[in-house]
Amino acid sequence: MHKKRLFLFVGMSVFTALILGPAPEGHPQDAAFAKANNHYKNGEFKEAIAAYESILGEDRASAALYFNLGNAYFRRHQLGRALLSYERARRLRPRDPEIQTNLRLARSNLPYVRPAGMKLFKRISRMPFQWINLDEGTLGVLCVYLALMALLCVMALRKTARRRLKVPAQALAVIFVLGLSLMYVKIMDLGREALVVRPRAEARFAPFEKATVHFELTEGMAVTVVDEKQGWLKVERPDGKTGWLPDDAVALM
Amino acid sequence: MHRLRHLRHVCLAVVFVVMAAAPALAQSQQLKATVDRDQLGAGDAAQLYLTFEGTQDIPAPSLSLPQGLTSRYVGPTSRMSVVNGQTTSSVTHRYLLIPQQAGSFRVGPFHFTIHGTTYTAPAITLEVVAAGTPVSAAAATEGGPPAGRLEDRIFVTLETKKNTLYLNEKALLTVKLYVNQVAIRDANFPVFENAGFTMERIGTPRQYQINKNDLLYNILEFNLLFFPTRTGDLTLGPARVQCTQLISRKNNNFPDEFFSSFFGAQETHGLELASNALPITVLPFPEEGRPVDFKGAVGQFTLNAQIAPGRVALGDPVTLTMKVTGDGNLKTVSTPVLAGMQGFKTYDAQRTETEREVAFEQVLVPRDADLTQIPAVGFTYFDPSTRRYKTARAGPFPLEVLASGSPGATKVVESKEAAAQPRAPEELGSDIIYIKEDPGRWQSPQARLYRHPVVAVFLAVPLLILLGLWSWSEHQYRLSTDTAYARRLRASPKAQKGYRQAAADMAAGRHQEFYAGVSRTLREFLADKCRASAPAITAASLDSLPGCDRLDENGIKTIKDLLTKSDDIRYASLAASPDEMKEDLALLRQALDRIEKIHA
Repeated sequence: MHKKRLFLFVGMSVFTALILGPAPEGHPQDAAFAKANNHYKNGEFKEAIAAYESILGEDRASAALYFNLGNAYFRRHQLGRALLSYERARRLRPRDPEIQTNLRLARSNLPYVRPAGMKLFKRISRMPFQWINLDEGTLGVLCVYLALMALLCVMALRKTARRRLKVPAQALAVIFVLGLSLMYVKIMDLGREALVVRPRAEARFAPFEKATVHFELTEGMAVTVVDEKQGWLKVERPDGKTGWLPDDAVALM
Repeated sequence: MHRLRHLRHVCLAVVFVVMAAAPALAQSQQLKATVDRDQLGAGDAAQLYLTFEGTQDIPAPSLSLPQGLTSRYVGPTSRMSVVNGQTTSSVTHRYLLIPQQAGSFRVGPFHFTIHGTTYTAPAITLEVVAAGTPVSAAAATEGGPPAGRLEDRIFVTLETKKNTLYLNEKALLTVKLYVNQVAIRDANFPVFENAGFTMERIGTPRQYQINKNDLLYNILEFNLLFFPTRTGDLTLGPARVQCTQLISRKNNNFPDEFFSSFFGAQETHGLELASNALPITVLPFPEEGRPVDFKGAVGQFTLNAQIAPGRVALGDPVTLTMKVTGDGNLKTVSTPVLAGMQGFKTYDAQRTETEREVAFEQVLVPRDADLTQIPAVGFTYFDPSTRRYKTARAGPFPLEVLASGSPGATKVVESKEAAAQPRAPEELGSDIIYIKEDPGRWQSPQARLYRHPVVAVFLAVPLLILLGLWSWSEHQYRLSTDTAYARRLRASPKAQKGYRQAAADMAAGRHQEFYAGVSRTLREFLADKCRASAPAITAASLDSLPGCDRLDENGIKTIKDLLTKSDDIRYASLAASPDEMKEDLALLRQALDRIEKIHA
């Protein structure tokens, strides 16, 4: 029994070490981050935004970086971009109360109206990711999978235990399939979820300026990008209505 | 005939044109100017009618009126009539004439040029008498002093007791609206347009009466506090008060004053009254004796402070409550200075301001168990009455700090009384939470765990292990339940083992053991392959063994020879040379290979 526990502990440690890599020490982006923070503290929000964005340009990001960037945009009254940054921060650290607070505040300052008619399955599929991020979801599904495999191995080795372990194994299998489905939906949405960053944007029936306006979107509204054509993005509202927007009117989450 | 018809058409056309032009020609375009009465009291109003005859397309002309008389346009009235084929039309524009003072006013003569036509009418004279004076007596007072001027009966004053102030010093300002025999309503709060002062309303407007210059005035008094925000010679005011004047319009069908007033109507007229302005001198704070911690507070203040709790565990918060009370500009009161707080972690103080005091709640966290007191706090202000800077002090406050985990450490519990008492909802400000100093774990924005190769390994390896275990388990199960399968599966390894043992016996020169091993290996291998009993297999029974028909004749012969020779040597105790044994070992090899192919 002790050997099994030891094996499990070593296995999880190896897995964590492989996933997380070495502990971050003296990262080159730390200095740039501190400099951007100084701009913010001095009330130089425009310079702070440029400094934070330059770190993102180096393909480095963290929840704190997105959070601080959101604050700087908020101070510049660019609420759509502030909301976008807070959303990105929340996706990395979904249970951070400070991120949640600022996100709520940014939302409350926007004339955001959630259009009715969002599909039930989509609503349900997004619910877990209000509390966990994609990596935690992956880890959770993986743990369920490993537990299921371990149970099946025991059942394979001990025929006498098969009947006793059948129900737990079935439950784990259902959880695994459900988790895998949610992960699949979430992964399919990656790179398609976007927020409106202009105060007001007109979605048109076709990708050119003179096309008829189908509907209007306000700053901070969430849309799904379904197509792209020469500087225009075809977006879908949660209620299923679609229209073409200039690509600078929305930003991908 | 044709010429006659042409002449008739021309005549008809002439008649039609003459008839169409007749009404216009019949009208004589002229202007009449009349008033409903030419004598009235101050505070009343007369109606002026400008009637343009012969046309209705006349817009309301603007009037030029003498000083002390104002007007308000009421509206037009159109009229058209046809009598004996003659059409007359007119439009009447009605104005309300409102005198601001008593006296004689000459309105007109009227001279308008509209659409290229000139309209003229003679002047009208209005006699305005003081309120309360019978209109019929107006003639008797003509030429007297301008008694009863509206600005004498309704006006606004601005008063303060201090014309010299220090910056931010509080002073009382009083705006009084004087009203005598003028009906007004909807008096608004005074409005100031001055820069350099901030105003603060206090209380509600007060109403009372006073006698001034033998006249009884109704007073509406507004009180404000004002604070100069810059130094120098400034002007405060004028204060502007907007109100609505009620003007009685008498019904001339009733000669009696009572009935005339009773059946008459009231009209409203907007009034904006401006007060006098006050010169104010604002002095800067004296440089002499100015403390370093002076932050601009002006007035006379006292400072009270207390801490709670007085006994805390190390790291637990202590609340220092400081209350600044007194007479002065509370807006200028800033947080009292905390000096010598090295042993404490401090947070920003929470400020609460009421009408008479400003309270500060300062949270302090002791970081040293050796602390015995919280040092004294001080609040510096400028007292304009003595023209000196003063510092109000409170403390020091004894404090007992217990090391964490000590038995006497205070446990914070809410008292039942506090829990039972309903508290007024606290109004909290809202703003975003401050930036994070720690960048946290850096990662690529595109990095996702599900894309990591380790995840694929962790998915694949357990699956492979499971498949392996499952196969092995099934194999073991079949081995334990399917004897034929188990014998068939074990036959070859067992035969190989027997072959190796025979080779070993040969090498050791143990010919008895060698042939016993050859015989056993052959019989057991055949028995496992052909699902028969090993002891029952002999050279004689070999032909009847099921499955042996798949062996060729040479194979059967080799097996029979080996079995016969083995029995002979074992049971007859014959000897065998090493060469013979070597040859028989090779034959055993061949025989085993042939038997192996039975179920191949």
